[in-house]
Amino acid sequence: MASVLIVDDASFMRMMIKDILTKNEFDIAGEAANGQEAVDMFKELSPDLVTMDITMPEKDGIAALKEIQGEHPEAKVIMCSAMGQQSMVIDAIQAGAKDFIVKPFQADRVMDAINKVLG
Amino acid sequence: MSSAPHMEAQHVNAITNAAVMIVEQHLGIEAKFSKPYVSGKQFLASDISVVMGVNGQLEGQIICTMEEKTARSIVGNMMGGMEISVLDDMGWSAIQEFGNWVAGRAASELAKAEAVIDISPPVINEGHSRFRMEKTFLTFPLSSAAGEVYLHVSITPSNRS
Ligand SMILES: [Mg+2]
Repeated sequence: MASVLIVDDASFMRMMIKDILTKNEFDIAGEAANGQEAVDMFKELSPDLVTMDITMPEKDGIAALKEIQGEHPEAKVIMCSAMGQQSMVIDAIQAGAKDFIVKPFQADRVMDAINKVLG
Repeated sequence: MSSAPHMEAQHVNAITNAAVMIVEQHLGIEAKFSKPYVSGKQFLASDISVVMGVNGQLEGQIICTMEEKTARSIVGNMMGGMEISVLDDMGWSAIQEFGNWVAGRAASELAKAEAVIDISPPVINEGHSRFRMEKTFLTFPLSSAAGEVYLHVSITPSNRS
């Protein structure tokens, strides 16, 4: 099964995403609570996919996305953020994000995005 | 007496729309705003405050406050309709994320009014406390089936833009 690294500073959101993924038989590669942890864990775990929050302490999700894409251009990252303004979406897509999900979301929206990116 | 803060009507609308969208459309909790009022340079917060910084073309703070039982009701709803008797670590994380959702949606709505902002990660304050600031707060009271949620907002155009 495909493995997913879940990145969000809120343990509540990590639990929600983990719940959706395990119900759909994905493996959880790991959980990161900020952008720096995400960069480090990506290197260590090489997950098939990353769900990336934006608003986080230490390093935000856009900075982490840029670092991960810089070192691993093949990385598949889906942004999951409450900040859905167009400029943010464009920034993320230009930096290499494969999709952008606005929080709060429905489970179906997450699965559609993941299946499309991995498909 | 403090004078009314300068906040454009479209920015006010963006914030109220955002909160109603999250509470009513996403959480399915019936909600209605009553008229915003000027809290001045200080206000006394209820049990729980979610504090978020705003920067970008507008700068300041958005502080979301509510009673503990309102928070429990919102968190229960976020967890898919559970009865929450006490806020544990996951519950605190959820109410923090609720603040992030409201502020995030406000940022999206403000962008439509051509004000691009970023939000800082929320910080939770537990217990009644008095918030003070040099600038004036405007308070938006949202009555909902879960209880009252107050959005205390102080955002003004940044000097940098
Ligand atoms: Mg976050």
